[in-house]
Amino acid sequence: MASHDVRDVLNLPADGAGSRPTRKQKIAAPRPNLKGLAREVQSLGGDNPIAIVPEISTFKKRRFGSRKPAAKWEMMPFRNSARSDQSLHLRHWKKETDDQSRAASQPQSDVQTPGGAGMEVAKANVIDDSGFAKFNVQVDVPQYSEDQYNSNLVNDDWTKDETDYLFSVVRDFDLRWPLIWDRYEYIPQSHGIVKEEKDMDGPDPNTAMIPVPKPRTMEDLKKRYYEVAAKMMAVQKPVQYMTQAEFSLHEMMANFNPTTEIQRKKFAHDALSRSIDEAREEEQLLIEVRRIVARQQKLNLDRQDLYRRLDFPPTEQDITSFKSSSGLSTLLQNLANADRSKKRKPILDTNGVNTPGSAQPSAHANSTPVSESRRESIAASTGGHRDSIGGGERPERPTKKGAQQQQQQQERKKLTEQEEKIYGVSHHDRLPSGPTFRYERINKILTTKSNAQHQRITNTLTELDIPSRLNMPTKNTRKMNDKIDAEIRLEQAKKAERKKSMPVPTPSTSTLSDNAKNTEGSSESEPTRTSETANATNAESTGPTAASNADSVEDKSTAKLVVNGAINDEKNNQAANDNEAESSGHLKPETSEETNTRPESSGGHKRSASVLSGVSDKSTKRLKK
Amino acid sequence: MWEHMLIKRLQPDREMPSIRNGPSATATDGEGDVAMEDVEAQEKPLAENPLLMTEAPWNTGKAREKAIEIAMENWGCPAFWMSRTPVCAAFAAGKASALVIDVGGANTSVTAIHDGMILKRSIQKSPIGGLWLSQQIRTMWDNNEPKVNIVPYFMIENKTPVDAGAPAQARLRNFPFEITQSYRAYEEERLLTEFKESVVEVWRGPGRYLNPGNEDLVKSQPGRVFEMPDGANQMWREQRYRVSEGMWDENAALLNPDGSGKAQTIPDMIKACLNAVEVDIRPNLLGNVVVTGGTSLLNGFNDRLNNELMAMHPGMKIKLHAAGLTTERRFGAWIGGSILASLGTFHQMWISRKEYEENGVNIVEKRCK
Ligand SMILES: Nc1ncnc2c1ncn2[C@@H]1O[C@H](COP(=O)(O)OP(=O)(O)OP(=O)(O)O)[C@@H](O)[C@H]1O
Ligand SMILES: [Mg+2]
Repeated sequence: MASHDVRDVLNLPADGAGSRPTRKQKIAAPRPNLKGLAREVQSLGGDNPIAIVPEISTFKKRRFGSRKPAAKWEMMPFRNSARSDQSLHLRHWKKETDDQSRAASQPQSDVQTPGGAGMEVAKANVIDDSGFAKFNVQVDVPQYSEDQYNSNLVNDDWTKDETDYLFSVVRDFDLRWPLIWDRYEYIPQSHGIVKEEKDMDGPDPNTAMIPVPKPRTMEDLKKRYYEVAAKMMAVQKPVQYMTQAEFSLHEMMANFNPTTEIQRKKFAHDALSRSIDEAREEEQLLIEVRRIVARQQKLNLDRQDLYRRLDFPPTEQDITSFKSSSGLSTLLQNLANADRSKKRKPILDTNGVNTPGSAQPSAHANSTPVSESRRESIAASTGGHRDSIGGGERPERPTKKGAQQQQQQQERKKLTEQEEKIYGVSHHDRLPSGPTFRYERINKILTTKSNAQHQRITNTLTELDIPSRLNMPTKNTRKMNDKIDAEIRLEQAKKAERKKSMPVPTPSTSTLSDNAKNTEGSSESEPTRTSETANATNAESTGPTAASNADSVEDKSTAKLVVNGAINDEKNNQAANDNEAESSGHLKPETSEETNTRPESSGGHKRSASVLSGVSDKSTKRLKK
Repeated sequence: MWEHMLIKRLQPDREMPSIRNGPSATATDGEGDVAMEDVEAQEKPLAENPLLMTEAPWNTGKAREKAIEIAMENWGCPAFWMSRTPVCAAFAAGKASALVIDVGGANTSVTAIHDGMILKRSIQKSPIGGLWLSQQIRTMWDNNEPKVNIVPYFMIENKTPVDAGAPAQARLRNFPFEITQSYRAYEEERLLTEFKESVVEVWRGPGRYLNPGNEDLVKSQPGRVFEMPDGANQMWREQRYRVSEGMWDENAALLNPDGSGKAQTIPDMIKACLNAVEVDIRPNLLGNVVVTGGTSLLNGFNDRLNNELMAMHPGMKIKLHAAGLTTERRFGAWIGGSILASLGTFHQMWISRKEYEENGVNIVEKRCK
């Protein structure tokens, strides 16, 4: 008894200490020595001694030798917290714990005594919970309120009643669709209709029409459920805020397609109801396919093998060491070793004679026909994707690169649809790095072409009077141009007025040429004034119309505009002022020129009006190409 | 003996119902109409233990309500649950989803189980079972030359051995009282079961037994001798295949004098059952076919079943699960019920007395689905 108390204080198990040594003893028990058997024969059995002689004695010994008392079990009440009603106390057998075993070891305070009964009651108050209560999990079935139903979920095919019924069945059967479909027995509530009919023409309620329940297929049920569930999910949590899992669930439910499901089931059904012959045929086909695939693989392997053999080591090293016969033989040896390490058939057996020769064909100057014929054969076999036999690792290189690319692609995280939505990702064509000038693009064409082509392109460009550096109008110049256009029209109108009042005609070739000079002068002088390219374009486009450049103006790089915006404005204003100041003198003839050129085709107009605008137009067209 | 005591306690002052299922608090037929008067005065024989009952899948709601009423009111059970026999049989085979083929005494049923619940639309039931087979044997014996008389063991006082086909030489026992009809039927059934065990065999396939050539093949093979209690004995050769063939081939059934005898065959039932469940779960069901019931112990039964299934669904994976031991096969539902009851998670399912008192008898329909 004292020892029990000590153990209790020390929090030791009551009998645990006593049992341990015995267990060890058992393990360490010496192997029985069977008499009449040679030691060698005995050891044949390994750890399990040969059971020729029954070992009855050890059974007996073990039984009495164990000092550990048999485990005591006790009928204990328990409850299950997963139950809705907690009053049910069932009992099960449980291994006795410390305090009970102590109580059992004290016969004085036995359970029969009134004190013991009191203890029992106390125990009953702390009835332990069943360890299985935690496994009671419920499926989460979405809920909806009356309002939510009316605002989101109304469906012609489904009454609210039936939807409610569907959801109760789903809840009952924990979303196990085969069961749901099996037990789905919706009987439409006919009270309302019956009453109405009674009110209307008062027939016997027995003859009143009872709505026939619609036969629902599994797909109908699923469709309705997923529809409601997806909508409720979206109502509770907008799509943008859903987590990955939620979003995919939502997508899946929202995109449930009953027809494909039905189709799939039809296929499954057909597969199930195949006849024996069909099944056999399919099996044979499968075997055939497998054989073909296997043969193909073998062929590919052989082909690869061949390629590998045709490759020769790089010839950068000094080959003089191989020129002697001993050198050749060592090379052959090395190759053979390498071959063997690759676990292929020894190269020596199959084409040992050819190897040394093919290993260094470039060593001999007269080996070109050989290599050419080989080249042909390779080109034929590979579909011409290799046009020359180069270094030793040639065929490996592309595959390596491909692998790297693949790796990179894998490394770049692929955003899902939802993430793209969240982060606002959109896809474009490849953008150049940093700001670039649009006119530079033409250089790119030139650089990528070969020399002769380059020459030809530059020739045609000069023929067309297109400078290698293109000038393009900006937004501001366009604005200016519009303004000036408007002014020109105004002046034209004025001029027409004046013509009416003054019958003497003034137009002459001199003023026209003057005007031409003026425009040309301005276009020449402006660039000299400023080296800014933007200004140059400004100046050039102020004269002639730039209407055809509307498209190119819009996507003009904005960086330039920001940089030169202020200056441009100033210059534009200045130019405008100049023009206005001279409007009476110069603009009139200009407008006459305009009127002259207008009736012509736009191409000619462009040409005559300004070479530059034409150039830029063409260049843009070219660039588009 | 134990059975007797148990039933006496459960149904005092009443005659024993026919005992069919052996050890069973679980397999009590809900049919016995227990007198409901002075319930209060009676002993509550099951007051300490919750009760798990098994029932046929086609059991009516009324019968189930009656069952819970008796269990709660008369026997005073603290908790009650009802489970379907095929479900339990599937549990006994360690399956939660299975196609259960129960070839019992009074009838044969094929039921699809999904996740521990029966699929109601899949339930198929046919009278071909042990009793139907017995009837087939009787018909065969009647038509045999010489006619075979059924004299149960208890009627025989002594007998002398006779040659095969010779008339029996036995002295019958005289009883000073009348033997009840049910006892006689019971004893005859025992004899017939013995005949089934030792003689009757199922044609294993391929194809049907009546296909040309099969019968001749059987005729060329050794038959089996069966000695009746009165000593008459005979060699049974092709007939022993014939009696069971009606289970598989409607045309092979021997007709009773009144013209009855044909019934829905097992392959037909399986077909109908599978057609009533979702396509998606059919392969799973075919991979988990559980065979249970006493009559499935017939020689060659599983081979034939397997052959029939293979012929129906070529290329599918078909796996039969049939307990090897006779008792396990006959009491599959009992074993499954005991497995179910000892599951830790089952305790939350019991209908407790309190719940019964709050909700009344219809709780059984709501809970035991
Ligand atoms: N070894 C056997 N071979 C053939 N038939 C047998 C064998 N053993 C028992 N039977 C038959 O099995 C039948 C009893 O089977 P089982 O106990 O499964 O029926 P049951 O469950 O009481 O009936 P049911 O399920 O239809 O209510 C009897 O008709 C008996 O003749
Ligand atoms: Mg049964």
